[in-house]
Order: sequence, then C-alpha cells, then structure tokens
Amino acid sequence: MIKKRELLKKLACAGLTACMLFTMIGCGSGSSDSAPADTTAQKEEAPAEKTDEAPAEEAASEAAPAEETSKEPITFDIAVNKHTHSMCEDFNEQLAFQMAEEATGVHINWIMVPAGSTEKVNAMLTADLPDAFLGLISESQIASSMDSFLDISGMLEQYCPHVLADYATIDGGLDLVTWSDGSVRALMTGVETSYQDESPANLFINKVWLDQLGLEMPTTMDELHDVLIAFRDNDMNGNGDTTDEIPLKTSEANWAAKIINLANSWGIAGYDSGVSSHYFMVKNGVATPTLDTPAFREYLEYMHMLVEEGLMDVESFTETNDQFFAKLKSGVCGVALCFSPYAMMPEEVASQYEPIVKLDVDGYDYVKTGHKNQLIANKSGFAITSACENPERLLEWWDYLSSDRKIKFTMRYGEEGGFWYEGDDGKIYQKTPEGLAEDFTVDNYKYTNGQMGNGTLILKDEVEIITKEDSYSIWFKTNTTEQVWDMMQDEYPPTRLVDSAKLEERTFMETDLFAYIQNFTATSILNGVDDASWDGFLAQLKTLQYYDWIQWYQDYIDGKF
Amino acid sequence: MKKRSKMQVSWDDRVFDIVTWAFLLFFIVIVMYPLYFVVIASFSDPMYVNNGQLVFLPKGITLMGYRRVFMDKRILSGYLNTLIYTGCGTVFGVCVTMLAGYSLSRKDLPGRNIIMMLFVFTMYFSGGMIPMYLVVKSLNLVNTRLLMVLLGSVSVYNIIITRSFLAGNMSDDLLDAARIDGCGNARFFVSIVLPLSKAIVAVIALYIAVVHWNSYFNAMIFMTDEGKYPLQLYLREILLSATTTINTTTETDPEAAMRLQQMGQVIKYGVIVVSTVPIICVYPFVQKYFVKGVMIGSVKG
Repeated sequence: MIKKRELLKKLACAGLTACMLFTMIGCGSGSSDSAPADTTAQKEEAPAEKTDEAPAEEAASEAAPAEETSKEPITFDIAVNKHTHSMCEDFNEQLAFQMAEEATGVHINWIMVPAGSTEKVNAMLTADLPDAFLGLISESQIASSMDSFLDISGMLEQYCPHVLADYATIDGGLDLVTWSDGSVRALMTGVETSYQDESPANLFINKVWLDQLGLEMPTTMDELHDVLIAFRDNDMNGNGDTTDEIPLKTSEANWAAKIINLANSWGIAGYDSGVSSHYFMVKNGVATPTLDTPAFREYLEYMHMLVEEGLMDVESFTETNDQFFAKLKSGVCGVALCFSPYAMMPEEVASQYEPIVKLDVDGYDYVKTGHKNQLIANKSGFAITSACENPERLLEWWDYLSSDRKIKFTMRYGEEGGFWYEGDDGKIYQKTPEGLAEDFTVDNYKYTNGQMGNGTLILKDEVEIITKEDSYSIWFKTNTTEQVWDMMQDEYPPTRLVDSAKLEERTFMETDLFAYIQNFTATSILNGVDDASWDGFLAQLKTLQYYDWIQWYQDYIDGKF
Repeated sequence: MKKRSKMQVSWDDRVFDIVTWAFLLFFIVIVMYPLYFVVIASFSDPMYVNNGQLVFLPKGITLMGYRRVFMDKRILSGYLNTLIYTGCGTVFGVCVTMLAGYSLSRKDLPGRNIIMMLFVFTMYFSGGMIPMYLVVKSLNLVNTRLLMVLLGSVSVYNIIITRSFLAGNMSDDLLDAARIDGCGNARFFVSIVLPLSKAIVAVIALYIAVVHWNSYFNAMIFMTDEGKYPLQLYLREILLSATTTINTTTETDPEAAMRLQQMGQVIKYGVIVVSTVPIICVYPFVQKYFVKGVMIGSVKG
C-alpha cells in the first residue's frame, strides 16, 4: 500500500515537472522565434510604404531611421472614448489601425470607455494607467495630474517628424501644446479649424411668414421689432389661433441659442458660444469690460421691451433643451436663434428659414459672436502616460497615422470612397456613403468606421470641401458663416496652455461672478432695469472681482503666465 | 350580509369613509399618473410630450421609440447581461446573506458581536472608489462577469434584517428539538430554517435583484468590454450623450449631437418602459411576503 502511494507521488512529480518544462519551452519559443520573422518581413515592406504614404518632403527623410527600428510586434493599451453613435466592437477593425499595425508593428489593445465616464477616467488616472489616452483627457486633467503623463518634448523630433511638420504650419506651432515648464504631455487630435462652426449662433427668420406679410428682411433692431409685432398679431401658421406664434425664440438651455448673442447689435460679442466669452472683448490687445457699459444696459432694456410686448418667449430662461427643440419643431417660431435650423427642425420646417445677417442699432457698430480661424483641435487628444514603457514606438505609430492626408482621413472617417473621396483636383470631398439604413445612419457610419474628433490632426488646408449637393445642411451653415464672416471680431485671447494654479485662480473668481451676472441679466430682461438696480449691478461687479477676472485675461494676453 | 346592509351608518362614519376614499384616490392618482404618463409618452411624438400637450391620451401615436430600442443589438445584449447579473447575483446574494444572517443570529457563535460590529463599521466608513478599484484589479476581476455578479450582492443592511428575523423566529427550543432528532447545523439550516424563512428570503431576493437591475456605476468603472455591459449602462450612455453640452472651443459634431438628442427624445420613454417592466412584474409575486418579511423581527434585536 505504502509502495503504491510512493509510486503515485513520484509519477505526479514527474508529470508536474514535465508540464513545467513544456510550459517554459512554449513561452520561450513564442518570443524568440516569431518576433524576428515578423521583423524582417516588415523591414522589407517598409521602404515601399514610405514612398507611397509620406509625401511630406523633409519629414519623410527624417522619419526613415525611426521606422527601421520599429518592426518588432508590440502591444499597447490605449483608453479611448467611444461615441454612442459608434457600433464598432473593436477599433482594430478600422482600416487606419490595420494599416498602422502593418507598417509599424504596433498592435493596440483598445480599452473602450463609454461617454460621460469621468469617474472611470479618474480611477484609471489614479490606479490603472493605460499606455495612453485617446480623446478622454482634458487639459485641466493633465494640469492637475502632470506626473501621470510623459513629457514627450524630447522625442518628437526623432519619432514624430510628420506631426512636427504639421504643427510648424499652424500659428503658434508646438507652443500650442507646450506647458509653462517646457514639457509636452499630449498631441493634438481633430481638425485645426471648422469654418461652419466659427459663427456658432445665428438668427434665422421664417421667410415664408415674412413673404406672407409682404415684409422685407429686417436689417435693424427697430425693423426686427416691427416684424415681431406682425408675427405676434397674425395667424402666421394658419391654424386659426393667433396666440400660439412665438415671434422670437431663444433658449438658455441650448448652447447656441443664448440670448446674449443678441447683444451683438450693441457691439458686444463673444469669441465662442459660451456666455462668459461676451463679458469682455479684446480691443487693441486690451481686455475691455463689456458689462459695465451703456451698451449692455441698452441691450437689457430692449430685451425687456420685447418681453413686455409679448414678442419673446419668457420660458426661454427656464425651459429644457428638449422643450426648446419641441417648440422649434412645431413650426410656431418666427425668428429663432440657433446653430442651424437644419440641425434643430424637420427639413420641411427648416427650409422656411433664412439667416438674418445683421441687425444694426443707431450709435453702435455691429460685431458678430464668433472666432475666425479658431483652433478647435483637441490639444490634449493623444496623451502618453508615464506607465508606457516604450513611448518611442507609440509615437512612431501616431506619426504614421499623421504621415499623409489620406491616412488622416481614413482614421477620421474610414476608408476612401465611403464618406470621403479625393477629387480630380486633389482635394478631399464628402459624399454620402452606401449601405445606410434607418438603424445605421450617416453618424453611425462615421463613428463606426472612423475616429472623428479623435483622429490625428487635419490641417486647415486639408479639410474636406462640402458642396451643396453632398450635404445641404452643412453647406447652408457654411454659407451662413460666410455671410457674417466680415462682422466677426478679429482679436481674441490667445490659445495657450495654463497651469493648474492659474486655472484654479480664475475658476475661484468665476463661480459667484457668473452666477450673479446670469441672474441679473435674466431678472433685468424679465422685470426691467432702472437706475437703482443698474448702480447696484455695477457695485456688485466690483465686489465679485469682475475687474480682477478681466485682469487675469489681460495677464494671459500679455503672456505673463 | 343582509344584516350588515341593514345596519345604520352614522353620518360621521359616512363622512369619514368619504374622506378616506377621497384621500386614497388622490394618492393613487399621484402615484399612478407618472407611471401612466411614461407609458403614454412612450407611444407619443416627443414634440407633444415636450410641449406639454400630453395629458391623458397619447398624441401623434408612434412606435418609433420601441422600434429603435429593439433594433439596437446593444440594448438586447445589455438586456441579456442584466438578466444574467441579476439572476446569478440574486442567488449568490441570498445564499450569502442567509448564511451570514443565520450565523450571526445564533447565540453560540463565538465573537458574533465583534463580527457584527465590523460589518456595521463598513456601513459608515468605506475605503472609497480608488482602493476598491485597486482591490478589484489585484483580484484580476476587472472586466469580468463574475465581478458584476459579486458586487452589490451582499449588503450589511440585508444581513441585519435577516439576522433580526432569524433571531426572533428560530428559537433555541427548535434547535434543541432538532438536535434530539439527530439534526446537525447544516441540516437544521437547510431543512428547518430555510423553509420557515420564505418571507425574508423573498424580500432579500427582491432587494438584491432591484439593486442589480438598476446598477450601472460598477459596470461603468470596471467593465471595458461592451459585450458585457448591463442594460442600464448603455441606456445611461445614450441619454447622457444626448444631453452633453456642446461647445465650439474644441471640435464637436453639432449635427450628430443634435440628432443624438432627437434620438434620445424618441427612445427615452420607451427605454424607461422596457427597462422597468420586468422588475415591476416581479413585485406582485413577492408582495404577500413583503410587509411580513421586513416587519417581523424589526422590533427585536
């Protein structure tokens, strides 16, 4: 019995030893045999790819040595935000990443993070750093967790020549992504500028109603007032009810419908769609307050007059975005402030609207809210973390994806011939892709086959051309921007990264100040403004550090931090 | 019955009845109307819902919301995952809770007060999200279905309810009698305690099932594979993306965002109905145990 047991023990030991040996051999062969084979294969392919896909002159020759060393297969973990429209289960199915893997040997293990998962990103930043983040990190997150991100400034010249070549063409260049300590923690994604977005909010008037009344397109605020009265007093939508028309529709719940945009007629304009960007204007390099001016008071008084006369929807200050949408869709609005009617209403309703280009007020120069050639690329788009052991290879991979206009568009929209194509004139055009269905829209197509805003930087000159036939709604918005372009201001605060301490300093002032201004604006428009309330407002602005806040921007403009 | 019908009801009793019925009806309307509104809104054009034109009957009847919900494969896979997590999590949770509650209810368990104190301590103080993330990561449970089953299955609150119930209902005499008949601890628990605790089992099962059904946060933090997402996480993603603020200082796709918002409006109420109906259906089956289960032992220690 004892002998039998000992024999069994010996057999078990021998079996386990054999297992261990096999396992070790198995592991060893995987790393030593396959890698060199892949390396040589990819090395042989490299020169051909280089000539095809890297037309960027000097950059191409500089990139060559980097690519020679980057053939061994390697895997990186990248956390990426997945848009809700995306139906892609694994981004490695996207053509751009397949091409990049073939060219650089870099395989990506994508960690998909659903939209709005700030807590998840914070947990990853603290406890589980991937090799890189794509489209998930904000500038403020980098500023507050600087050590979690690798300083890649010293590697860019060698490993990212194409990226550097692109940055050299942008006003500000590499400084745009350089922090005050001289480090570079992230690279840009998306497009450099987007012409259609440069004038975010515009007034659109129902031209059918205007024609019904035989009225002309208004060009001044007084003329607009007359038109609104006509809209109010007539049964414009022909339903037999003269009370359901909303002459002027704005909404504080919608990013592009905020009433502050109407202050443009009094020479007050913002540099983006945010309300606070209207609180000062840069004039000859000086941050100039706009809220303590007679212009702002006159604007408030005019808006109050519209409210008193029932020409404006008073629910604009309290409604939700869904309610705003519903009102626009129901075809009861005469004049609407929004991004574009085609983005807000059914096509048959939207087609009735035309943009109001300019509304003058005596004594003031009209200035349109917007930002010419605004850099809208995400400056913290692609960030390599300090957990990455081989950042050089990852940078080479990113550089490959930036090496050529076609690969950039493939990364952004998917393969050529789908949502985009190269015309005979060498320019990129948009087209409607095939295979769309009710449950697979054009948005699903773009976000499933491409990375959209998470793609490598597309320069202003490379941006696709949109024709009226290809996409009427985008053409319409582009055309609207074109009409107001000359009225947009020319000076804006610079685009530069700011360290976390300075950002906190500004945020500290903004919390109470913005809440007070917004409250005062709403109250004044609804209830009116008199000398006492105006004087109180001016005094409160001082107390709530309005002028310190403007000084912060002045220092920023002057380059003091 | 005849006798009862002939009984004279005093005017003050009649007033009392009327007031009581009026109150009851009022509260039923207050509770039922929002549920009813969600149902009719799910069949109506969102334009009427948002314009406040929907009151008693659906307007602009459409099945678009349901069609979009059921056409989306991700919603269906989320549904399946939620069923798995809820089913397995509830079974696991009930087992652990009953075992813990029973053990702690036995006076002969050494150190039971200390154990109970440690349990209660976790109700007031927790390590927080990051330490929890580190623990889960070190156990290699990130992005696993097992994690979704384990997390949220056991709560100290449920253990306390169970312990109180068992301490009050399973007397020492019962245990002694069973022992005389040769019954051990395990047999006593399985053959006597469990059959006598149907009420508390039903209540605990419902509590745990509801937690699992509604849970999205753990999945959001720990899951990376979309195929393993529960229903609630995907629904949250749709609704949140639809309301995400757009700004023009970074690249956005305003038209896509607005179309997403419109989709959100269309499917919002359909999604609420689809995701709520299954768990509502469970309630009638456990209702008879509900009050009994929670209340028994509530005044005992």
